[in-house]
Parts: sequence; C-alpha cells; structure tokens
Amino acid sequence: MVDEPTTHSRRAVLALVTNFGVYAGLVATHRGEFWPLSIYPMFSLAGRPWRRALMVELPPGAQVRWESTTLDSLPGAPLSTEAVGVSTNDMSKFVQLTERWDDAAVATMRELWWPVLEDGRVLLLLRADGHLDASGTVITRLTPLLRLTATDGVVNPTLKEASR
Amino acid sequence: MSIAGFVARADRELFDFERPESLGEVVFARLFEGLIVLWTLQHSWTWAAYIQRIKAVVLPLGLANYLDVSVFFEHGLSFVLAAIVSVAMVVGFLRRWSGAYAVALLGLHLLYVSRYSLGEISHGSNFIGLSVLAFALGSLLFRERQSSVRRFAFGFLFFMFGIGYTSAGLCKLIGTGTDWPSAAHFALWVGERTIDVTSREGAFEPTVLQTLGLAHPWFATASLGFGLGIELAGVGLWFRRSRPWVLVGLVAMHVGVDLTLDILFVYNIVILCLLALPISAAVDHLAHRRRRRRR
Repeated sequence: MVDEPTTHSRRAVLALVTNFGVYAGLVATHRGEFWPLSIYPMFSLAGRPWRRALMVELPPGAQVRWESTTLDSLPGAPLSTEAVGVSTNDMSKFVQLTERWDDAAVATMRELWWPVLEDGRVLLLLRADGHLDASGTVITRLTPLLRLTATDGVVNPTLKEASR
Repeated sequence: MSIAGFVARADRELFDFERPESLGEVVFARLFEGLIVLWTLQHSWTWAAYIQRIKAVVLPLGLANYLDVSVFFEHGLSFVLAAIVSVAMVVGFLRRWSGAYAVALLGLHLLYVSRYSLGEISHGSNFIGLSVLAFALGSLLFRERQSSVRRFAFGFLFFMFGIGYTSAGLCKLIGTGTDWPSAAHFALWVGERTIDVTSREGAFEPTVLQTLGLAHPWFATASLGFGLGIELAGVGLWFRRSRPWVLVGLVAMHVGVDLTLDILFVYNIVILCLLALPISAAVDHLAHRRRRRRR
C-alpha cells in the first residue's frame, strides 16, 4: 500500500487538530480544567493571598480559644493528614470552598478524620491565610474553624460562615 | 506553508509513519504502554477506595457538571467502575477490541471527577490520562496497522505535552506578568508549602533550596526564571532536534519544583525520563550485537 503512510499522516494530523479544538473548547468552558486536559493553572497567580487548612489535636481538657493565632503559637500539635489517609489538598480546598459550615460540611470533615476521632481525641480545624505585606514580608494567620469530637462538631461562633 | 506541507512536516517531526519500526521501538513502546496500564489500574482502585469516603460534591469537574457522580460514593459503585476500567485496559493492551481504551478513558475520567469533586484539582495524573487518550485514539484510528498505533500515540503525546507546558508558562505570564519569577513570590509559596507540609506530615523542615531561596533573592528569581523558561520552551517537544534538550530541561524543572516546593510530579518525571532516554536505540544495539555474535 504505497499511499498508506500519506493516509495515516492526514488522519493523524486531523486527529491532532480536532483534539486541539476539543481541548480548547472544553478547557475554555470548564474553568481551565477538563481532565486529562488542563491549562495547568498551578502557580499562575503569583503573589496573590492563599488559604490552606491545618488540623491540630487539642490537649485533653483544653478549652478552645476561637481567636486567630500564628504558626509559632498553635493551640495543639499538628496532625498528619497522611496518617488518616486524607489528602491535604482536599482538606484545604474544602475549607476554601465551604461558604457555610452546615451539618453536611461538618459531617464530611468528621468522616475524613474519623480514624482519629473514634479514639476519643479532640481536634481543631484551622484556616491558614497568607499574604505579602507592603514590605514584601509573608504574613500567615491561622483562624480556628471547627472543633471536632467523636460525638459532634462545633463551628467557631465568631465567624460569619457559622450557620448552626 | 501549504496544508500538504504542514501535514508532511508534522508527520516527519511527530509520527514518521513511513519509517519501518525497529525491534527496539516495539519493545520500548509495549513496555511504555504496559506501564501506563499498570498506573491506570493503580489510580483506578486508589480513587475508587477514596471515593467511598466522600459525602458531597463540592466542585463538579468535567462530566460531573452533567452527571450526578455522587452515585459512585455509595454501595461500592466506584469499585465497579474501577473493575470496568481494569478489564478495558487489559483488553486494549492485548488488542482484542479497538474501542477498549476509549471505554477505559471514559471510566477513568468518571473516577477522576468523582475523586476530585472535593475541590482540589490534581494534575499529577494528567500524563497518565493523556497517555490513555493517546492509545485510545491510536487504536480507533489505526486499527489496521499496529506500528501506526504506537507511532501516533507517541507523536500525540509529544504534541499534547508541548502544548501543556507552554500553555502553563503563558498562563503565568498572563495571570501574573513578567515579574512572575520574583523572590517575594517564591517566599509566599514557601509560606504556603510550610502549612501544606505541616498539614501532610505533622511537622515542617525547610529544604536546602528553600533556605537558599529565602536567604538569597537572586537564587529564588533564577530558579523560578529557569522553570518559566523551560515551560515556555515546551513546544520544542514537537521537533526532533530540540526534543531531547526540552525533555531534559523539563525533568530538571520538575526535580527543582520537588526540591524547592516539595511537590513531586512523579509520573511526569518518569514519563519524561523514559521519553528522553535512548531505550529503543539501546535495545536495537544489543540485538545487533547478539546477531553479530551468532554469525
């Protein structure tokens, strides 16, 4: 088949161009993401404030202080998400996207941390907010969001996201 | 350039359908494809297990915008999907049905959008998904000639990886501007990673490169500038002459990201290394020596 390579070349290039068109269409209409195609927006927005999450274990009998704190004066020991098979990214994104900490949101967080909670430990979910100040120094503040136990979850009453 | 000229150039640079396939190329391509099958199975079952722990869709991705993927959260349905993907991948690898990889890709996409419906979008598996897509399209378009399936798959991957990296670089310039590689941005990311690593591991120790970048702004700017430059050069993967250099540069960039920001794109690194190393040439060389010894 002498003309086969030419046929294959045309078919292959048509597939590339069509795929590129579909790629552009899907990525443009799906916030830059349509796996396995994406525009890799990681790190695109440099210098913008960020928000992440951190879980700490409160010492036995400790009362929750709901005011913001720093990484150097955490109210408890940080807990490893890997130890409970939870993705750090999932937890952070969940904190970023949850506008109201209703029963479903609290239940999801308790489900993710159940392997630790069922041992009777008391956890505090912290929201970490970072930004650059005018001098270019990194400022990080941690705000308590949620106190979790095996039996319930208490949302920081001073936050507007609290709805329970 | 005419359309015919463009097609001929694209064929030469990406596919080279006319050139006979060597033993080394066949061995390398089948090993690469087998690795993609194994990774796909690994991701499918890992995602399926995680999906059973999810309670709500926070951010619908891809097909999850049109389908209620929460049905996979219960009754072990995500495992059924993983089983379908697994069977389809094996059928595709054995060339029993040309549509098998396409079915696997659909199932893998559903598992992905279900797994990442909690909000964070993972890019770590993009290269695996793209590889399944490459073999799915190749199997459907070139079912009459196996060598063309392989040639298309690799040409497709070079094309898509090139677009992916260059678009990532352009996004940085569009989203931030030419001051993207500034030392202040580096420091802000290290601050973010401090929280992430503390959260992931329960403790944080800065790496040598993080300490260097925070202490010496020129080092932070130089490392970010290198990363941006090599990403922008991603379309160099489309051309035979520049491909090896761009592959090595991208591997260096990923290793740098791991050392400075503790984000390991392990599948990207392995795939880029496999494509950069002259494995098929080495197999051909060994086969040639063996034939000469027999004579």
